Amino acid sequence: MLTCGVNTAHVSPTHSSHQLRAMHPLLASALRSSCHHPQPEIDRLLDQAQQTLEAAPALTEQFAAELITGKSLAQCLDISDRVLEKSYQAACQLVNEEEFQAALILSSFVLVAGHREARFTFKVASCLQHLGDATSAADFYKLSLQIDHHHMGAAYRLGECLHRLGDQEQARHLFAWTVELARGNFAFRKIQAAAESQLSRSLMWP
Amino acid sequence: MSVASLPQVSIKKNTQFPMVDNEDDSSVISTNSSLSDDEFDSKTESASTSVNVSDTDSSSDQANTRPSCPKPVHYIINTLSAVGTFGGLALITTGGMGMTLDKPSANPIANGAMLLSGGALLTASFLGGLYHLSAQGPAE
Repeated sequence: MLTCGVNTAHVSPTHSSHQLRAMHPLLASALRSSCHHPQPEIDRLLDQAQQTLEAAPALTEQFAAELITGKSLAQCLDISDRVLEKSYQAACQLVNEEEFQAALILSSFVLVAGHREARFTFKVASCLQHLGDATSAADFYKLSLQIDHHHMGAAYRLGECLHRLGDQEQARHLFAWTVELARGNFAFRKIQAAAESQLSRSLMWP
Repeated sequence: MSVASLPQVSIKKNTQFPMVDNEDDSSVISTNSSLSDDEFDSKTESASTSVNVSDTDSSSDQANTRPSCPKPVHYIINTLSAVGTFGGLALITTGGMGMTLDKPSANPIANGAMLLSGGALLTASFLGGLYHLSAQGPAE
């Protein structure tokens, strides 16, 4: 049973008239669609995530002093790490179910509220990629790699996005980096094979 | 030997090259990835935190066995998009992600974003780059 309750009642509606209102259009669209899930726990997590994301700009201004000191928004709102982890795991499940809008809500919530981790930015990027925004996805894969240069998934997927965006030379660098990261580990053979395949295909690219 | 006596060789128009799966060519330019998230979720973390070294190796040796990020890749990942709807969001994220809000970033794009508005950028940086500065929004 989740014990976390995000208290956003203290955020005045008038306080939202600040500079940070423009939200990523895919996230805004996902929030407008009011995603629900048959599993009650995931549905509850979705509700919580939607409330937090809608109030996030006002909340960050309200808690600016704490955020500057290094606290996360989750800490300011008493959202436990357990809830963040459950939200992340639910996002992973939703991606597997190809419910990318709902997954985007949960992964964005974890990214916005939680500590910056490469796996969180990777999940947001994955949702954006599956929803058709290769440019945004590429940016978030880059952010994953800024946090962790050895994030193999981000390296491979960034290669895919760059290829889609027409930057073949950069895509080749990312696939080659993926091959290097996977080298010597049998567990990564499928990823390595996929990256090598992309490199082989790249010989045919313009 | 006359040309007419040479055996005729037929050339198929749609020759399949073995290294390229033409039937699956659409996946190359598809938005969707050819590998599912599952392929990465569990494995990538271990790739980032473990290396194949013996138990007797020291931790410093382990760090040395990890490949260093090549310069071209390093350059690519530190160059965020400056165009498109999401460009502004990514720029702002750089400020937070790089944790260099109090000093100039190595990324000139991030520097540009930082110049926009210190307070607003600082706030935006905590939102993971999913929000951006409103063009009409005057500072309060």
